[in-house]
Amino acid sequence: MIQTALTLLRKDLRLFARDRTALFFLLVLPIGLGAIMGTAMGGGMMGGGSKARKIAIAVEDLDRTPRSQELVEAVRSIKELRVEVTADVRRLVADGDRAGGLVIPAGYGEALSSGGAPPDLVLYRDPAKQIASQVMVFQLSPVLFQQTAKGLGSRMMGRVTELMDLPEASRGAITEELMGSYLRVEDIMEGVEAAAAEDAAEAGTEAGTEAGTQAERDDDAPPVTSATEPDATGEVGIMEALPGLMGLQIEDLSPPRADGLPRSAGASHAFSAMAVMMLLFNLVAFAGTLLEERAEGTLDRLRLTPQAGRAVLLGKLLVTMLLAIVQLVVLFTFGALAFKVPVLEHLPALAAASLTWAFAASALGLLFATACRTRKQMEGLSTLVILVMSAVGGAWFPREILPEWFQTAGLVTPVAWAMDAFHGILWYGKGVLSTPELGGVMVPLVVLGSGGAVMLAAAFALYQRRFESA
Amino acid sequence: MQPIPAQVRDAEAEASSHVIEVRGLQKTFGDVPAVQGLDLVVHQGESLGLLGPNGAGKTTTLRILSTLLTADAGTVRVLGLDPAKDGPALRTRIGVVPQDIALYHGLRAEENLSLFGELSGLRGARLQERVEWGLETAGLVERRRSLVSEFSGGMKRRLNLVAALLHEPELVFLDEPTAGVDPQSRNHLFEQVEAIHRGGATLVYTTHAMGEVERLCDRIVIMDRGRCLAQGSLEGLRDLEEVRAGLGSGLQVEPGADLERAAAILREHGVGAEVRGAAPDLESIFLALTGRALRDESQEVPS
Repeated sequence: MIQTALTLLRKDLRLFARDRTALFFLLVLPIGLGAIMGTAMGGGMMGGGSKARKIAIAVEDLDRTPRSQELVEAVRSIKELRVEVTADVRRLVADGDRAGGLVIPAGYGEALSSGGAPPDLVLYRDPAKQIASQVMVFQLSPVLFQQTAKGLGSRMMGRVTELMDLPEASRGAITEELMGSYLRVEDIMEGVEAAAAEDAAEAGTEAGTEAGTQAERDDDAPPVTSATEPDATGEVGIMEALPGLMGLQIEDLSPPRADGLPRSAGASHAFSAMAVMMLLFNLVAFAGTLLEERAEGTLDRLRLTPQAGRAVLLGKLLVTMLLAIVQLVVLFTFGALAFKVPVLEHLPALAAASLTWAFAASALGLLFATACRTRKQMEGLSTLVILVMSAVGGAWFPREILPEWFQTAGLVTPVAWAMDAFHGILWYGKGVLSTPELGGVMVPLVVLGSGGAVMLAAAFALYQRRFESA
Repeated sequence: MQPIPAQVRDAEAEASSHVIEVRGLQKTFGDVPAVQGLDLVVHQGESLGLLGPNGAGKTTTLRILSTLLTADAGTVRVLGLDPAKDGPALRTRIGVVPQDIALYHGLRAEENLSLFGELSGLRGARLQERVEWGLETAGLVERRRSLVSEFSGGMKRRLNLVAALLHEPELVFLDEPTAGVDPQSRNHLFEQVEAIHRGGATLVYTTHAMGEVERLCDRIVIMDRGRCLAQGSLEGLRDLEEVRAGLGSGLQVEPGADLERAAAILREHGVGAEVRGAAPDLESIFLALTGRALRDESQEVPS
């Protein structure tokens, strides 16, 4: 019996060794995906570790004084941030183009120079990029403190006594005491600076793991919230209050829902990712029926009919698009009902994105089907390509937490553009066209449509060469 | 107007009766020559058997003639058209019964016929009429709503045949249409092919089975290694010198003669001789014993 089992084992090993697809799934795919995940999580492959996750922040200097310029330069010196000085930072954050935006108000420099309390700086944050936001505040806090502390003393102390809810009568004495302890506060802030650097490094490492859920936690942030507002218990923690003490007013730009329901960036991202990745898998699998039909002889029979011709491929395109639309409708309906994904309020833009993506994904499926010789070959190749595209294109993790070269590489994949379109619509509330308040998803849709047209043309050329004259 | 010379008239008349005319046909796949300078003529209303072992070039030739492949060299005219250039026009006039069961197994019998009928240009009542004809001809009226995946090999073969005939083609290519079917279904298929031929269609029939060619074909072309080795009627082929040399000679005796004694006398006079009876083949015996009725009922799948 053992001898028989060994004979059968040899047989299976021989068969397995000759099955390239099985070998691919056994050996190549895990290594490839491991490399991508490892790099995304901050591993050192291809230098991804050190250059990973520079957080994009836009700075708008409305003051334009030497003091405000000093602050800009100080922010620029933070190596964890990628700083761009520009106008209209609120819109950039609202569009999801930057994780944060710092506005230096007019009068800032003058107030500091005269020894008075400067007006609040404003930091806009994208609640969909919560980890990036936390890192950003940690990195900014010490710099802001150093730059603005001299003029902040009395106001800072006043705010502290307010927050501590001290009796009116004792506030004067406490303020005096605190003012006397100003140097001690400076010492504390030095400690905070060191801790912030450490926390930022840890948060960066953890980001990949947490973001694997697509949610960066559940961000049910209310529309345009101040990060220093009291929580449900009416209390404000010292760390949450710290930015306010330094004259930094934080606004989380969570687009309001028409129906007033809470929003979830996680759900929006998850349904966007499913719409993109699962659709690719399904459509490529369906397009593969072209190879099945060739193997079974039915494709030849179709070609022998006077009216088939290239309509065979066109028919495949139409049916894959139809299936894609059905899948998207089911997916988004479920998302709207079960997870309150704001589908109805963005229906026209979502319909435009769904049609464009259905076209591009179908064209990609047909390209796979016409480029491969067998169904098995197509399954192996398409699985690898789709998984890699999904990883670098932002369907697994938000792209901003990926190393920069990953983010750049992602832009050559249709997944990145499709994610930009769907997440832009579902989370940021973008329409197809830009408005004064919000950018549109026209660019991703045009890129997807054009890419789909190129892929379809390639599929037709391959079909003619490999199917019609073979 | 000058009168047309008689020789030119004859040549034109003959050419007009050529449904297929092939000269110097060549086709190579990589380094492997599949067809090497084939010349072939098929006349109007003829039933031509294309015989040859595996790799002889039969299927390649058939695919070129039916527009599925383009030739590397040579001239090809089918029904007066060039298959490489006039594909769509030619496809309305030809039918191809493929070697594979080229049907959608997830569709019902009538759905398959409707699909191929519609793609062949049939519409409306005419389409419905031809689908009914197909189901009746294939003996599948009762199973019209069954999925092809539930059919026996014979049922699939019959449906495979009629699916190529819905648009009533003038020229039908049959590529081993009886492979893997039981004698009843094979006989049924033969009857259908004969009916098509009687209806006026020209047939080109490729097979390995000599018996099928004997029964169905007026003329035979024997191919090997991409070339034509011999062509003619069955009698004509039997009379070929190389064929006779290979087969040996026969001796006609009166009915009732004692064959063993005749053979013994020949051997006594130094002539090698043996007695072989003209026994019916196994297929004939099988049909005689089991009858000619179709056996599809036994293949029914419980619903």
